[in-house]
Amino acid sequence: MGSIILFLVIGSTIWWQIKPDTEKSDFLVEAHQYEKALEYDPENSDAWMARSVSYNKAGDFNKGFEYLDKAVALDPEKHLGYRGWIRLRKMRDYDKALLDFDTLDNLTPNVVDAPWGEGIDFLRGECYFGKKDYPKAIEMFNRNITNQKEDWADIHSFVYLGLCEYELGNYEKAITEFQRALQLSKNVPESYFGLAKAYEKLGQTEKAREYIVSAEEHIGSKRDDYYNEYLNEIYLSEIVEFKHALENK
Amino acid sequence: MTKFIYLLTILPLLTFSQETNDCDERTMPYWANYINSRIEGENPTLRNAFRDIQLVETNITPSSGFITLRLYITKTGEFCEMETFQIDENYEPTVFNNGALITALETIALSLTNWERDKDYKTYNLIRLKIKNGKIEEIF
Repeated sequence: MGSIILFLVIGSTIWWQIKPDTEKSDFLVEAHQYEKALEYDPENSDAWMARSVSYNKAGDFNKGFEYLDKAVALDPEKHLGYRGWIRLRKMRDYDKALLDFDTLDNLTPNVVDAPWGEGIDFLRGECYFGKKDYPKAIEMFNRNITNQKEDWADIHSFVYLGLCEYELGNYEKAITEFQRALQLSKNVPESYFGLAKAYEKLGQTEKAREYIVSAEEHIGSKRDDYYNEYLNEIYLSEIVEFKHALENK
Repeated sequence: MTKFIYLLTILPLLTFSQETNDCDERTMPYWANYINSRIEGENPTLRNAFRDIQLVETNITPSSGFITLRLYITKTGEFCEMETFQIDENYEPTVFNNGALITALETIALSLTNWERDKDYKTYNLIRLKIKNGKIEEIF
């Protein structure tokens, strides 16, 4: 037994010693030992990026970006999308997020990028929506739908299109966009809520009442992520408040 | 005699026992283990709580940046302590309104109650404020 253990110890020591530092560094990133990984390879962009994650998630963006900026400087194509995503979702720094997404897009011609798994045009659409530049947001969400194809696009592309048209005072168009989302799935409370608001603006209170009930019924399917609040996130309290306002009309 | 022996056994335990405090427990990040910690009413509650200061503060200096309030909450929903982070538009540390703004925000945050969670762990919640053009533009 003792000789087996001795063999394993010697074997793993030799295995470790013959590895180049870059491989040791990658191995340590996999093991979540980011500081050690950077000691072996200070140019390991994945280690810098991974080291930034917990700080940004915990709201210490000064520290988080100190590390994330190093990752981007070392490998912009790999990390710009994530940095833009963090700026959008965790900080709502729309201008800098757009800068990152646009730079990434320029670095990767003929590729539709997907920062952190989401369509780049959907994310750019959210940035413009946050900036209240609704015409530009509409352009981006439509481009996302074209790229992803109508049946496969993120259903919230249509919800956002409805919200943008609503904000521009185009209530009929808003209704069309919210209905497009519901054609793909009936479980989109954001669309029902949007329809209720648009019909209320058009003076069709009965229709508004009908859709606010649907919004309340489907609230369990709302777009939700306890890491971040989405820009189009809705809440039961807001639906109930709007419902009471409609009842008193 | 039995009582005396019982006292002798229990007394040292009482003497050396420490008062347990839920705030001393290990803090789990809000994203771990499906803790899903939030305030009752979620973010609309937060926005209501900070609405007055949002209306009053219209000339904040520096005029752009970000504030994070990190509130540590026990497994039973009691407030323990708060950490704050203030950065400018380039994400460098700053102090808004020479410290007066963060003091006012902390006071509001301390008045928040009814923290809820799906799992009973000590955790922390973030309240994020975006400052733009001298105003509190977003609270989330």
